[in-house]
Amino acid sequence: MKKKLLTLKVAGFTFILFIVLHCTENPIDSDLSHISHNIVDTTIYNISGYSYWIAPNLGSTEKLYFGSKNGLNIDFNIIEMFNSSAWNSLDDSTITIDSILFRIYSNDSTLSENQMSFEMYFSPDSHFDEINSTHMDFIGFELDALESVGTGLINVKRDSLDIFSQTEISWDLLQIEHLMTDSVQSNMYRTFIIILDSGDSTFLELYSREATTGSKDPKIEIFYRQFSQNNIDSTNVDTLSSTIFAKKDLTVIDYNQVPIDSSYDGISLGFGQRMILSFDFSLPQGSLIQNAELILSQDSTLSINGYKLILDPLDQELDTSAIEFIKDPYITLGYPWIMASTIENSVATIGMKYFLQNVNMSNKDNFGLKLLPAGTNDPFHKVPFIFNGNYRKPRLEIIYVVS
Amino acid sequence: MSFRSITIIITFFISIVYCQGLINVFGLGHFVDNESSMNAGQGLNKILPAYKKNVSILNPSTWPNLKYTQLSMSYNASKIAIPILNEYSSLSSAYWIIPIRGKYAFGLSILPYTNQNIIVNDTTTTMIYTFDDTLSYNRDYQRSGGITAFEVSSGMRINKKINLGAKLHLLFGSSRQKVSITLKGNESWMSGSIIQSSRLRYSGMLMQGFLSFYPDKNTSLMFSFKFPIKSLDGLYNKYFLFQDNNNNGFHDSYGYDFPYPSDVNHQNMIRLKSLHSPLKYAFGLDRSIYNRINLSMELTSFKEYGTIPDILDLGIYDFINISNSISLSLIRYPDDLSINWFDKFTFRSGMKYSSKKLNFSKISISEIGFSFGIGFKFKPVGNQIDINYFIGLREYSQSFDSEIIHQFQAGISLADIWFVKRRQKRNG
Repeated sequence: MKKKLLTLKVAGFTFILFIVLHCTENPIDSDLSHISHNIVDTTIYNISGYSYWIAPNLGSTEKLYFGSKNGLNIDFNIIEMFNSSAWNSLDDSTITIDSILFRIYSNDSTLSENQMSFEMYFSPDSHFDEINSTHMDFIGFELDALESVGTGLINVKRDSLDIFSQTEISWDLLQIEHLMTDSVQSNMYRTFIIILDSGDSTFLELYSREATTGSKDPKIEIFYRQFSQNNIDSTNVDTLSSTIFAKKDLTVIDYNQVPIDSSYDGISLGFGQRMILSFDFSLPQGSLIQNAELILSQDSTLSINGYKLILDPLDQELDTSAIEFIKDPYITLGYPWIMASTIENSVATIGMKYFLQNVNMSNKDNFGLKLLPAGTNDPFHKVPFIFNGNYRKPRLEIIYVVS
Repeated sequence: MSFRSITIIITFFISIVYCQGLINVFGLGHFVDNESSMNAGQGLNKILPAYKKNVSILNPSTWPNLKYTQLSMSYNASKIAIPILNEYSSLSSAYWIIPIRGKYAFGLSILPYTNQNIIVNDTTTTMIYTFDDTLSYNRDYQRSGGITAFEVSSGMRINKKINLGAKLHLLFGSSRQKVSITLKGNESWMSGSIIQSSRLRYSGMLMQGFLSFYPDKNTSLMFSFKFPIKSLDGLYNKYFLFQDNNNNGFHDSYGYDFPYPSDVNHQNMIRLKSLHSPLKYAFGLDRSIYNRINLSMELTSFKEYGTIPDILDLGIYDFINISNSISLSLIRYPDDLSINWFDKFTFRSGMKYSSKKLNFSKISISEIGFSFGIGFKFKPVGNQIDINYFIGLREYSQSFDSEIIHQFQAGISLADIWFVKRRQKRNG
């Protein structure tokens, strides 16, 4: 037994020595230029593009628009509120409603001076989809059939130093409390339509629900008193309030009167203008793209710094020569293949590495790319790109590793 | 298998990975049978006796001269001292030899065939001017793994003057290559590493024939000839290039290596034929010049008929295609009958000269070295412990600096009578 133990100890000690002493590994220096891996750059200039138009959707903008600008006329804005439990207070016998205020905000201090008149209507139905609805969904939509709430009260707010902070427009909804009460628990909708009652040349912006995280969102505040019996001799009265935020909002354009402007290649959110870009692309099999950028240039006099672009690869080819559509017929890959960029100094640089690598690995087909404005852009801008000049025409700059 | 046994085995294998030397970078790496010494008990001799009197552990035609079954293991530690320090160690051989009635012998053995571990750093920086920026990059090359030989051998005594032997080398193993490109530049994408890994899986079969001729009781002449039955082929699998965003050297999802591993399609393997197809001759003359003292001379010649295709990335695109060597050894064997402890020692010494030539660059590699070894025999069956030290100088005709090689080997051989039914002890 002792002998066996001794053998194990010797063996263990030897193994430890092997581990500790077995290796010093220092690299050897040599010229490795014979190795076939190299970095190569290439530029693709042969990029074509054409515009097409769809009925625009203004559901994701950070503003709600009123009036007209750049030839676009706004019909109305529509806001649907969350189906919050706070609505139950309207039908609670222990609660006395003092006031119900619909508030919406603007950073325009001149609204009251210019005597702007915002009219509101109420509907107990849901009328729209924030992402997809366009003016086409409101054909035959009659405001007269809705319940009028009246004209909003404009209140310019200033801080303690008398500096303008914001303008608030509010409506007292107590008069339509009975219409908003869901006594049969039918999960009713509460939709409000706001129009600007003024001349054609007026243009105004109010904050939409996308603008802030709550402070300047359209909202309804309910102020009420709640009674509770403590014991036989005493009753408690609590003065409380609840806030209900907007679930979705949309600016509806009177698009039927807008002519298609095909004088430039570009995009516009409010005019529903988008582009299809096409180019032939192939790299040696097995290449790894280190960087790939699509560069679109603008005339510096027409450039809009900060304008956000989206480039979405097409999922299939569309055989059509039409350029006007109600719904966008070009089906795209969407997330995670979407690429985005912002115009800076008259140039949009869009990273395409991930998509092009997968095209080169035959995981995806190159049917073309849809170029469209991000939903948060100013809808009244037209964003042209240079496509036909010899200088500053679109180009795709690629750097790849080949083995 | 107990936990302790598993731990010991894992520890042992951990200790034999990761090692390199400059000569590892050529072709399929450093062929172990080009090493100065392949076994602690053999000194510089390959086919001539040195392990025991009239026995070479590497030559199965001498195995019928063994009296007992042998289990022999040898461990090798090498150090390249100049110009860049590299030290490594590995199992150099494990033999199990069964002599049968003093007339036949059979043996199994396993040993590394090539050592391919190498890391090469690029001495040149490539710069390109691209899209109004300057991008520079360096390459690195790394290879690990190697080829192992499993050998099945047999020996036979034809008559008192002639013994024959045959050894079948079954070659297998794999190596993993990695080419890295390290980028430098001003833009954010001009940084990090791009890696391409590849794997080569080997298979091949070689045959080696042995002839031992004893013209008189003091002289032996030995000859061996090695040739391919099936040349060494490789199944080459080149993996997709990737951007190693988490710098761990592996293509993984963690850290968002690009492209994502799930996006990459597996690439077809390519069969690379006849990577190694050697013809090797060895001739040796051994003579007893004094009581238990033998002088031996051995010549070997190796020629490579295989080739390395250029599809295979190598740190240095070249391989050794010709190698010749000569060695002289002086060995004093122990006296089996003596009770003097000093007579239980074996002393081995020798010198070796070899020259090799690279196929493409025609660079010559010469190596000269000296070997000293000692063995101690114990127990009546002839167990022995051997150690051997070799020091050599390797010189290249151009491009590379000279190297000083130190090689230390230690081996243990256990002998026993196998396959013989023993009498049971009677009580009382």
